[in-house]
Amino acid sequence: MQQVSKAIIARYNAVAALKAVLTGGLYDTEAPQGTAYPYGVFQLISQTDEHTFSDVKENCIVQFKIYSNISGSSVAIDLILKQVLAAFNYCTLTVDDYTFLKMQKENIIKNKIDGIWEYLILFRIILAVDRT
Amino acid sequence: MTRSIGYKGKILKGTTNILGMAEWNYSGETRNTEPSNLFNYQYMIQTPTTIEGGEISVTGDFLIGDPGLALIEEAFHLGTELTDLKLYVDADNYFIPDPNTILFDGTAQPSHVIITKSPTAVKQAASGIARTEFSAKVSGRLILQGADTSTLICETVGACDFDNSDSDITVIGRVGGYQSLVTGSSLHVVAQAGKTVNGLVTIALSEVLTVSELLAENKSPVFSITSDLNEGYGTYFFRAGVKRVSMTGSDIVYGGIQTVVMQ
Repeated sequence: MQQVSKAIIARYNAVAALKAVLTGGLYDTEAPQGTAYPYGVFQLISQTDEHTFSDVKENCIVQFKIYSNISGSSVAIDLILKQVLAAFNYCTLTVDDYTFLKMQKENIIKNKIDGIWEYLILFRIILAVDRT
Repeated sequence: MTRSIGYKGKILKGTTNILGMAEWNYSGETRNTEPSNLFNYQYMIQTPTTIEGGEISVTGDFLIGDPGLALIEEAFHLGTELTDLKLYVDADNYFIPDPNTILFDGTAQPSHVIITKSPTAVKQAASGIARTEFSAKVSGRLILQGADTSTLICETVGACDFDNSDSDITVIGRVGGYQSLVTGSSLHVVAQAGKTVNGLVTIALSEVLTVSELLAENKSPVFSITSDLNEGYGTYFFRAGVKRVSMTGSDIVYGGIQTVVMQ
């Protein structure tokens, strides 16, 4: 959903503390080839409708992935995770065409592959659009 | 026949849409019976007695400040007998308390709905969105009403009379539909075929049957009943007379009309 993507990028650009640690940027689905670490991508992996007689709620699952190549302890990527959560968990997004209801963290998975630290964070975003 | 699509439905209190509602349920009327135990009879005999109105339950999102929900809560506190709660099965057709429920003595008495569970019944969870529900009990019955351009339900409520003076066959029936001038519980109108009644309902005879056709085929003359008013709701009693060519005596045994399609 283009509106959600636009809102997340805008949020990233608006939160200086996050940009200061996630210096490689935050991208929709795919980062450009050769993007410098640390960086993040997000992807809309599920969007389901919930209807009332007067409106529709869009129930979205957005998956964030953040990567850091700083070897050794995970202190660096833990700090990035903290800033991602501070910026997005319970935040208020401005989403075109929709009434924003909530963005809430649902799950976190930590991983290390070939020396690259990775956090996978799932957020649930609920939006509403009036049908009346 | 058409199927009703759920997302097009809604719930109205009068003309106020109760927003955020996602589901309604009406249990329907039930017939009470009185059991009888007869000597030398193997089975219990059930005698039909009264009809009991059903229960309405509604669930949906709890929208703070919604005027429709406030009206329901107010009706609960006041014990109001609601006659204008409309449960839409699609965009045009809805159930509403029958304003002219017929009692055994033939008089009309409005059905109504009483809110039995306030929409202050709210459920919230930290990861969810607040939900509410309310319930109501029907006294009488709900009837299905259609849009002003759709088929109306019309039924014969009285015997068809034979009248030698000005009308050979009189059909006593009622028609429900959109009307804007109804202020009381019922409006009784009397008309002959081709006449307009109080500017509300026009009854036109579109099929003239001869006496022999009536006798031989036991056919009903066809009426069209039209209304040129588009708002509100009413059920109207009407009496439509059919002029005969020639007839003597009371030699017609005649059935009434069952349905009328609005033109």
